[in-house]
Amino acid sequence: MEGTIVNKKLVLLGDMGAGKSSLVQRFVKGNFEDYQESTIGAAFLTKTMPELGLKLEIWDTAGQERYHSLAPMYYRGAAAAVIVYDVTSPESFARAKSWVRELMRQGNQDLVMALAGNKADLAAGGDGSERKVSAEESQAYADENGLLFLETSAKTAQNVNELFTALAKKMPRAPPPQQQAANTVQLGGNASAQGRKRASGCC
Amino acid sequence: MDLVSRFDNLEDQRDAYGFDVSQIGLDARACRRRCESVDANYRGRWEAAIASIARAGDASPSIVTHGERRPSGDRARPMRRISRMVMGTRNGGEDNQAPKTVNGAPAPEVSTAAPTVAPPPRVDKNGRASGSFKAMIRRGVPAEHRPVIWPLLARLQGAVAHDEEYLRSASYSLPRDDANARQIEMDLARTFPGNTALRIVHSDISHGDDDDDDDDAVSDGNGDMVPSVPTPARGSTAHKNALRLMLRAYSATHPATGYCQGMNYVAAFLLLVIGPERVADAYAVFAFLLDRVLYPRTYDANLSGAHVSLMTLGALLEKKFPRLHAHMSRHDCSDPSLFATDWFLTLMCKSLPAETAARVWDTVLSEGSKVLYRASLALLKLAEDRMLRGDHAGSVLEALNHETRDCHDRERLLTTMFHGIGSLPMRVVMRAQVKSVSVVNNQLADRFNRRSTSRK
Ligand SMILES: Nc1nc2c(ncn2[C@@H]2O[C@H](COP(=O)(O)OP(=O)(O)OP(=O)(O)O)[C@@H](O)[C@H]2O)c(=O)[nH]1
Ligand SMILES: [Mg+2]
Repeated sequence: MEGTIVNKKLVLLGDMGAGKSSLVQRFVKGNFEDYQESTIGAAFLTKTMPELGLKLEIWDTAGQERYHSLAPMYYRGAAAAVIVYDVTSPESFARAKSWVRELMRQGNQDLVMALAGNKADLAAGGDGSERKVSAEESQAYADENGLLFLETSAKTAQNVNELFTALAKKMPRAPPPQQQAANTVQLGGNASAQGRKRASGCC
Repeated sequence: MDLVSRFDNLEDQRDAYGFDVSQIGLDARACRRRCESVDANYRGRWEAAIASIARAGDASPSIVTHGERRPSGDRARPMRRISRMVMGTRNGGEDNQAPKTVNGAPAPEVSTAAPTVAPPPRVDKNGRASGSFKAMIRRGVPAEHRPVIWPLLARLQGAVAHDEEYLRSASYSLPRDDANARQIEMDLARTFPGNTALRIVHSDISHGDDDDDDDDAVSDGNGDMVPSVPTPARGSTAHKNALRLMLRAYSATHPATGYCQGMNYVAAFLLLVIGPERVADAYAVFAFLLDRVLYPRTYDANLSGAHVSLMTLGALLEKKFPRLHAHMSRHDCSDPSLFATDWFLTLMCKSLPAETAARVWDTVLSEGSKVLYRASLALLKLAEDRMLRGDHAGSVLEALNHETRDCHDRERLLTTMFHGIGSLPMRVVMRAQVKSVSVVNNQLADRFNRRSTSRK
């Protein structure tokens, strides 16, 4: 059992306040806070999905624009990325698109991406007047770019497990460890990554 | 060690700064109790020190400079002056062995509760610093004196003092639609939301959630069962308003920096320690930390100063703990931006338990930013064994996370910081910083170029 668990890195990206931490908390701990601490740098959590033989190493990043300069460190070597926007905020949708562009540029063919339109509960409630980004528009964008797309709510738990499970199932199945290390190195593609390659070669 | 379900079933408990400690493990609980009694042993000594500061004609304002002053090399001198003032006669200077002080102090009640603890005499390798004010601060400023000592330390080193009126007018000067102001507003409710003083109390919404429950529990019958730690008033808006004031004033007076997430925790922590009624003092310390202590441009548009600090820490880690560094490299997690970003961007106040963070800040305020490297290295050292057992990035970093989050034994951390990691000359730190600066600049420029050229 133990031996069949594979570690996979998953990163969440998206605008400040879009609900990245709330989604992770819902998925990992099963609850929701009205006031979630703003993330500094990145928070790191793990979640084991025994039925899929996976242990997800989840990197929940900070959304404020100036933290962007740290992001490459967090998505480097990731097997999956969740790009989160807030369905009541068009700016956050624009930001999500720029994350998608950035990740595509990284040239990691195996990276599985999902787009999550979060805070769907706000759009669903009453006349839905708070909604600013339509599901159709997002779905079209996702289709165009080959992304998974779901509208989620960390508050009501709508589609949260579904999101992570769908991603986990879409991840390329476990490569042998050596190969995995090699992948990681290729992604970095800079001097320090070369150093790492040597380090991992010697053991 | 065993993290599984070793909890006391005690009711809601808060530490000295209003953070929930009801869920911490038994070991951590014991550590807290032990550290509290050590703190109490120094209480008499601190009372004397505070008295002599007051006697010196409220020395603090007389040394205050209201003008700008460069953070020059003469930082040490005012410290020496205050050291003389506080330590007083030669007699006072010699009276530096902790046990002696205990005898001399008016028997503190807490120390009888844990009589087994004899605070280790903390003397520098060369035995020199033991009698100094610096050494006294390393042993910890008692929580009740921090509201005076922290601003004093900042002012002695040239912190600019402004009154509340100044902060108010600066804050008002922000345009209504200012982006920084919007982000500040958004973060007010997201800064230590679990803290007694900072959490939102839904007074007009009555859905009977936990908040309401424990408010009731503390306000009635339970009162005398609550331990003697000072608990900040619950549900007040004072902290939130003062936090808004500090962040807006800083943003308005530092337009190039504006507001950066991380500042909210630093400001809030100062308010918890110093008190919202002394918001001008809290602000003076805040601006001092941001402008004079942290590496320049730590909070700027691409956090370049934070990148320098992180890379410097990486170099020091490799130098000090080559085995751990090699292990981390092997698992592709030796880059400090993976684990230490919040250490520099919140000066660890979000990372460590509050009472431990306050001890680190005592020394940051008296000795400068180098202490943050010491604290970082100490945490790595304390977590080293468990990290070395980790067999992939996740478990390695998790071990470090746990060590940090559960670091309630502040005595152990401080001892490791100053006695457990060997010497750390400023020259070594600076050399690493200088090296990092050019690497960081190149990397950031490189990333920027890549981003702007790839709009295919
Ligand atoms: N109604 C509703 N509110 C949500 C939902 N998800 C998050 N929130 C709220 O939105 C706020 C921001 O959520 P966070 O999870 O902290 O957002 P984040 O993306 O992690 O933000 P940063 O850490 O600043 O990047 C919090 O106050 C949450 O309570 C949701 O699905 N529905
Ligand atoms: Mg977050």
